[in-house]
Amino acid sequence: MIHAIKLPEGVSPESIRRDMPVLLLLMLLALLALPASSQAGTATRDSLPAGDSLKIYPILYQRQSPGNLVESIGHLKGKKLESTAATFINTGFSGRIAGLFTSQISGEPGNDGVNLRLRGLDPLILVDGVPRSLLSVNPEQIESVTVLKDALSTAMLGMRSMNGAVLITTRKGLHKTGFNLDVTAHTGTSSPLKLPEPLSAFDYATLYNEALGNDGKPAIYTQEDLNAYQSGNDPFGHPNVNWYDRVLEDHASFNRYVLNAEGSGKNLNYFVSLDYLNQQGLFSNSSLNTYSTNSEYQRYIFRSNVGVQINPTLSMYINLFGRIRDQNQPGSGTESIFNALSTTPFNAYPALNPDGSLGGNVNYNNNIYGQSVLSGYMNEVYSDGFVDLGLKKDLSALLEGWWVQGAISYNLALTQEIDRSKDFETFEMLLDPGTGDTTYNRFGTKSDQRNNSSILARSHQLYAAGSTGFSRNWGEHSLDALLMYNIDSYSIDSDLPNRYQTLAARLRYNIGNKYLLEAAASYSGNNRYEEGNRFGLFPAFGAAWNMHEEDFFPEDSWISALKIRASYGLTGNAVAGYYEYINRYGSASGYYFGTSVSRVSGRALQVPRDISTWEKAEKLNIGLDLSFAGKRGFISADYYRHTLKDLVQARGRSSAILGWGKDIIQNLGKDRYSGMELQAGWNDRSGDLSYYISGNMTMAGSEILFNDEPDYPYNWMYRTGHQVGQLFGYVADGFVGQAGEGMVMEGYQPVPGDIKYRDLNGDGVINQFDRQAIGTEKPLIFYGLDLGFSWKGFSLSVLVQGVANKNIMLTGARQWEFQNDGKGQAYQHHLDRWTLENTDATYPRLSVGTNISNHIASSFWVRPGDYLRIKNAEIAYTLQNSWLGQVGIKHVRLFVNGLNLVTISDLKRSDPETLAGTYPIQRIISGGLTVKF
Amino acid sequence: MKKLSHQLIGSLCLLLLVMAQIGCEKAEDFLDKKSTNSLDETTVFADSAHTMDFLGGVYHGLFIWRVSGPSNGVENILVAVTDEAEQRYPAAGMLETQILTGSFGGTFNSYINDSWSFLYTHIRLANIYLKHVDGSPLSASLKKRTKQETRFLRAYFYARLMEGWGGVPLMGDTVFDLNSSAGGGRNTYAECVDYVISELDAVAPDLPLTYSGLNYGRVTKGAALALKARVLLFAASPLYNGGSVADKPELKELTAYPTHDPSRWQKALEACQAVVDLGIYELETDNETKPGNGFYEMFLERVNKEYILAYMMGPNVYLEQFNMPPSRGYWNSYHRCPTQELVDAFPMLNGKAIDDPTSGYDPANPYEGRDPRFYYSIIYNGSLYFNRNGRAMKPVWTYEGASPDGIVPVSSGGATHTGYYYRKMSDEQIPYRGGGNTNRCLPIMRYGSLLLDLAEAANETGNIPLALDQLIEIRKRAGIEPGGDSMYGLPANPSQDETRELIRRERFIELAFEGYRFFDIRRWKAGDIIDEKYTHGMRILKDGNDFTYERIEVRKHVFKENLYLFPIPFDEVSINRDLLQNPGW
Repeated sequence: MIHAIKLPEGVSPESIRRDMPVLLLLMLLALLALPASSQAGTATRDSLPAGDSLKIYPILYQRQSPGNLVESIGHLKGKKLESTAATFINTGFSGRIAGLFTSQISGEPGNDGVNLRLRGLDPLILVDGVPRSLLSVNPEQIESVTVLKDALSTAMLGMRSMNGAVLITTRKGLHKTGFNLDVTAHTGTSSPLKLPEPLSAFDYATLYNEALGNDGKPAIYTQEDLNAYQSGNDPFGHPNVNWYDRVLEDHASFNRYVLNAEGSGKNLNYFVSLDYLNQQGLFSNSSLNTYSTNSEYQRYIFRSNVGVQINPTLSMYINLFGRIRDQNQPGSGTESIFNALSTTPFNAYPALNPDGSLGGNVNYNNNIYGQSVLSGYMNEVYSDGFVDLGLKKDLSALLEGWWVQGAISYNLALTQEIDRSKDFETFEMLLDPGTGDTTYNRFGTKSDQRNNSSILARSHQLYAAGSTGFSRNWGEHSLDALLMYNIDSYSIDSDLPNRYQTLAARLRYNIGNKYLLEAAASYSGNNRYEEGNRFGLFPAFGAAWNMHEEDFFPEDSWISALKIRASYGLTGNAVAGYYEYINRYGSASGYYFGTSVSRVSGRALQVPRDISTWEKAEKLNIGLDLSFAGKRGFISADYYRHTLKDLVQARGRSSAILGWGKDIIQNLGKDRYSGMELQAGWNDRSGDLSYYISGNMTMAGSEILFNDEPDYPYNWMYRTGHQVGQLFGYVADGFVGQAGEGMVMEGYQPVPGDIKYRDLNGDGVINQFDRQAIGTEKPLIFYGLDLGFSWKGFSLSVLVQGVANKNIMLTGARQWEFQNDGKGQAYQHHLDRWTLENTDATYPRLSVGTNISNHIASSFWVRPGDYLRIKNAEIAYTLQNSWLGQVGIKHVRLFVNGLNLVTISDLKRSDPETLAGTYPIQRIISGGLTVKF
Repeated sequence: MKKLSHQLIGSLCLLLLVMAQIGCEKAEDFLDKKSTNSLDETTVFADSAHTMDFLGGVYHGLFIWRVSGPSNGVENILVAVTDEAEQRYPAAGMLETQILTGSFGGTFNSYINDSWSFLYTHIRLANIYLKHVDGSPLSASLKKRTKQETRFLRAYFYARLMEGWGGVPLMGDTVFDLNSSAGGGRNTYAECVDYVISELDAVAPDLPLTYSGLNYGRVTKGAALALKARVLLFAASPLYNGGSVADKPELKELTAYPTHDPSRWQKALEACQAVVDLGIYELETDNETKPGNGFYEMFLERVNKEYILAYMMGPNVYLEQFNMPPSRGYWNSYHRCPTQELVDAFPMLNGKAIDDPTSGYDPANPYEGRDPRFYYSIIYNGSLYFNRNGRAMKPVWTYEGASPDGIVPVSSGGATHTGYYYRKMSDEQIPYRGGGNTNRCLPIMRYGSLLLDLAEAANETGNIPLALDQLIEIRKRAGIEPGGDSMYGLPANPSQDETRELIRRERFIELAFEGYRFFDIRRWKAGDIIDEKYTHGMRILKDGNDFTYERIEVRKHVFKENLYLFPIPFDEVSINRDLLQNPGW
């Protein structure tokens, strides 16, 4: 257990902090004073990896050959991302990296990235060593993605080391002298995976009457109404509008054009990429408009990475990046329209009245058709860019294997909104049955189209690092040392910058490639903590043993490599908020004194907080790497146990009589995340055929060790001991029968057909004492299987990805009937509701509005979120012949690929990843060609 | 050597680069905060304006029982639990529906819990003020006065806690820090009464009698004496005066005085008398403009002679937004609908009860010739009220089938369930929509309520004539005709029991919708007024220009014995096992 590391006497955190740059300077000068070695050193090109083989994986700030890895990492070649037609590269991570869980909640153009959870936590994203989340880029610029999982691989990140990290390394040019230029045109079409299945107006009205009856209220639709809905002969008085059909198209287009150039010369290597992407949304446009009201995403990217060898010992790199993302949406907003789609019944109003005006009424005055094409549009433009600059000096002349490096990165981002929305009015047509005259009731107010521009966010980030390293072999022994000092300052809008300051080091010692020892540590601070309490020390250690290098290991073994490795360390996570250690007083509810009104604002503590330290995790990782059959096959396994403490959470045992009014936020929580990760693969070739198959599977569990809960009277009420995020609720036990057989619910009088709950404590009343963990409590499992072959010019790759032991809770307006005070929609799955004739139902009796007994968290609504997807597949043909060569073309590659092709899930009514009624995930089929010069 | 100097220059360049990145700042300053715009405890009390603002936040605690809850104010909720009004929403999840159907279990709805927390939060704020005000730059006299105001407010919060829960934990002057844990149990009811009375006795002598200008609305000497009277009235009342519903002896003394002592009424009477003796309050009376106009105007005046303590508000339509009929409010309005029980409790203009054959009540014209307060409290079929359409006084029609204000069944929720709408304390020229704002503040204690308290205490001590005098005062102001005997419709020589009934009925109508009824029924231990009884409404049918009237049952209300005290929040008793739960929860 590592609780606290004592600093040597006389060395205080403050002194280290103060003296850090001075120490570095002294160290450098001392080293410079050493006599120069007579031998000229060979430049190591860690910072200019263009010359390195791709077999050497990037790790944090350095590289390492897979055979000598002590750290636990996952690795993905950038090339693998190119078959995924999506705006975010992380969409291509799904199923490809053990330990990294992905979930996609929206398919909206420009918002279709996935959420990442690495061993249960939200990882830090770094691009070329700088903390920045740059995920909406073209995959061609990615050399590789490295996922840093254990303490040893992230310890140098200091205050941001706890959650693991995803390290994205961009391409820096060719490995050998030459020049390549390739141009890709890529086009496709997207369509929603699954749209909700609402009821027709007739079914809706029939069920609505039934639900009213269940609630003891009179029906509101007469038989004539129902007949009219069924026959459809009164489209204005009795509309039946399928809103999805009315405002959505079946397909939308996806287009992308990319140009990449890369090369390498004697003292120069470079990679340049230009990318344009256009993804259209599903909304129908209208010829009434001269502009597009569709949800639409356009992206322009420029990247240039250049490395220069200035002289034999001095090298430099400069990386430039610029990006514009232009996101269009209807003036009412894409999310708002999808919400309206899932909450508006087909009979709510006609899309258009006979006179061509928009339909509406007092309950539904925001016509969906109007929202989609007559509300103007909104445009959000995100522009960002950066410059990375680095210089590296080889000092082997002074001391063999020694180098120093300085790097700086300046990042800028701006989000601008252009509001060209407008408001519309809707009309309710009233028909006088006697005279046949129509009158119209107006709702809403029409407005002119706005034309406003505003800056939504402005941010800049300065990152700078100075490092020095030393790498040397003595016979069988080799030593590699790295010392780094870096600062990171991120400012957004008017906030004071969020700053990190870190001194970090790594030491790698290798004895004959047999015994590998590695230690890494950082002393790191964040300015959002109270002075004197800003710095923490984060050490980690690891060792690995390459057994196959031992003499006793049989030379001719079927096993080609066998390594066991282990690491242990302490990591941290700054969650200080905005100087939240200050218990801030703000305006509170005030008072109105005076004979004439004179307002006095109150002053009170906003949120009581006692955040004195950062979150911490002790991480243990044990791994095994095995390759066999002449390295054609491999198996790799990892076990991890991460014990988190000082997690920021609300105190559960804070009595209201102390008068805080709100929960006290403190460093209280303790969680444990543990699991297994397994990877295996095989690749081989025979003649023209080469093939591979590679799979990974993760079992990720968690346990709440401490949650500061009150003393509950029953054990099942405690969350402690369960998984983090475990669902809690009542246990459903069929339906209340026709005889109303005895369920007594606190605050509610059950009627037949209501969900019946189990009385856990047997006191005869269902109340909060009867809530327990519901759904599966097994650890989450996720997996991926990647396989493919190539034969002559043909190639095929398929990625299958899946999840098991995931709970989902079907709640809200897209799952429950007649929500929103009875104004909500109802769906096909409500047809099999409980009635006196249908007691063997899959859905409880219907009610209008939210039913406080049925529409609450219970096991009735929990379903397995398990699914299996053919996530991605690609067929390609590469044409390469002398004729093409004569016109300067190296090859032409034709490809067709698909995203989210097939999904297998028990859940029929919606996609297992998007439940909430948001923009559906898209299936994208696309194809294109690449010409390489 | 040349080589070395190259190396040196190169390395120094790199180093300079690193230093340049840090910019002009010194490394040790890199993580330092450059400024702060946030207030903390120290800065608030270092500034006199912030200090006075802080006290404004303590005053906000007077809003208790009116704070926004699930249906916009617990007064709406508790009103609808009693026989005063029906609540519009039939939804099963509403707290009042749970209470009046008897399914409230104490853990399901957070509203009562929030009130507990709200009061203790304001007690803490008061203690923070008392702890820091001496170090603030306020003048010595202001420090002294505001400390007395704060101690009053703290006593008021305890008084409301005691009305809700009985004896509660007394926190003293301690400001607990973030790591304090709640220990200890509830203080006995007697200890709580003693504490609150001693605090009020301590601050009353020096508090100002009145304020002017910007300070109007602050706590006065009269408020301290009136609160003392109210606490002692509760302490003398049947539920607390040896009448606990608890079985366990340890719970008995937490929830009430363990034994009955009739002399507690005498203390309450003396405390009420002390307020009267100040001689500065009077019933706002104006029967010249029109009968009962003083009763009407009093609620609309920000500054008036009757309010002893009010929740001071800015210009508002706070009550209108919840209570106006659909035609005068917005479509989602009309939260509470007065019951026929309340309507029938109003006497005739001659002061006689409608069931008195000599009263002149005509069931075919039930709204004719009634107590003027009736017309200022209730909107009935044909009441005139300002309508923004036409910008004129127009009738509100509540007969069956009238759109949009006509009576509808409980299950509908579309308009009144009783045939009546609420209008007390409202300006007939100011509906929710289209009429501007009122200057109304909400009365917490007024001279009218104090006189009724006095009447009750007098009657219980056997001084019936003194009790009747107070009722006559109240009725005189209400605009009721004195009658030949100058008894304003009251019987000549009522017994003590009859007088008690007269007082209770007078409270019912005079203090309707002011937040008294629920707590009065509890302290009288008179749950049977409500329990298993239907509330009624008036179904009116229109036939040409004539109306016919039919009393209808609206909803049956349940008042279980455990409702005499609220449940202590479940989490509180889980965290602190010494905190004993109230009986029946």
